[in-house]
Amino acid sequence: MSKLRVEALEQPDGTAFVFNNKNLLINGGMNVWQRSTSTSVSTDTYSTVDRWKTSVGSMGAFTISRSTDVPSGQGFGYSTKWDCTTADASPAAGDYIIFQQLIEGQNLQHLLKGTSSAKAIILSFWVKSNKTGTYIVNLYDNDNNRSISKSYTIDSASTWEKKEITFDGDTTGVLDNDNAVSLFLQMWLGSGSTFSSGTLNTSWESKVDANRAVGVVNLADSTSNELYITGVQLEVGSTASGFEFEPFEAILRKCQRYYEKSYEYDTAPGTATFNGAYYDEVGGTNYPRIQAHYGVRKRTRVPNTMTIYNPNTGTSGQMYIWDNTVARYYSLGNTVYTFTSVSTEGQNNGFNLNNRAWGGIHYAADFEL
Amino acid sequence: MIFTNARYGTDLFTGENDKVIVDIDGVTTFVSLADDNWVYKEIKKQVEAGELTIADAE
Repeated sequence: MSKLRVEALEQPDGTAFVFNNKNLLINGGMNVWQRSTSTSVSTDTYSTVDRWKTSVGSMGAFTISRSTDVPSGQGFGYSTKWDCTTADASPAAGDYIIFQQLIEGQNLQHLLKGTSSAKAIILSFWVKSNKTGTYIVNLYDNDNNRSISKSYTIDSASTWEKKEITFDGDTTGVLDNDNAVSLFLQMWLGSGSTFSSGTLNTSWESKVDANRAVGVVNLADSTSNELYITGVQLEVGSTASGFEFEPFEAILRKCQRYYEKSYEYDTAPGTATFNGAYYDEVGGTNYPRIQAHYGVRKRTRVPNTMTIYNPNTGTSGQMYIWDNTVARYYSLGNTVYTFTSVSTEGQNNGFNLNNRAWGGIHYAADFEL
Repeated sequence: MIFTNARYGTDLFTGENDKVIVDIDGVTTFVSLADDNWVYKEIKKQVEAGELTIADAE
């Protein structure tokens, strides 16, 4: 049997080639936007770019949107844009602005965290903002309540810059090998004194909130502020390799473990459309029932949230019935959702449905961490 | 997220509460009562702060 020994493989930019799935993050290239491509955010929410939680804790408001402003010649199609729409130049103690991604413990076992062989990890990304100064990235170990932070600087206003930040391995605190969140990657864009009044914890330590975001700028101090970010990669080691570009389908599939909808990809939930809707024959009963199986079935948790929409109007909490020649709208009654499907029943509204009546629903299901 | 019109929903078979039915930013949504559910955590925060009340199941 012949063998091929590979001494070194390089990507086009000269960085070391690493095979698939090296990025611990999902959708770091900001490719997939199932929920919305532009949303106003003033709370903690998953409402824009897939897998990324945009957390604005009483610290102004931002429009988060998909932008085609990207670093030239790097191969990215989109960035995520934070545009401050309501300023807060004097945040209260507990306020914060964080762009974060939460990672399951079962996907982090190879970090060997909590052992003498714990591996360093390195974060790389592209960022651009008119707001120059110090920014903070914090890793938070949710299983062991441990934390490490590093700072970086945006040096030139409104210019794309690439940043690389290394975090030492942590020999304390084994991560749970399960499907719950073990690690938070938190990119701090502003904070009140609760998170910034101490000394930045540049080594792993038991979490002290005051040490997590020391020195961070306030991206909310002016409605002129905006920030773009893309190409976010977190990988094992202390040398950043080139960004792992994946096919759109592969990224979407990964994202759908955490959120999926019956609508077509480019259609926002709540849109009046029959494309992608689930149908069933419902005649002969005053309690029409429709079941939809999710596209991604091998889950280990029920959805956090399940929203049912009327395909004809886009109204939530409602199913659509076409009864011979009459459109009827039923409010939802018993609704059961499992790892694999949702089954929902219309409340009895007094109509006697014809035997050939049919009904339809759309759904949106959130499984985020 | 702005929560309004919150009430409990019940399991079809056991009759026990298994969800909160609530309008989230005006969208009627079922929220599972799991402790690791990030949305339910937000609801509980608002309930504990006295900003939201969850009515009994209908």
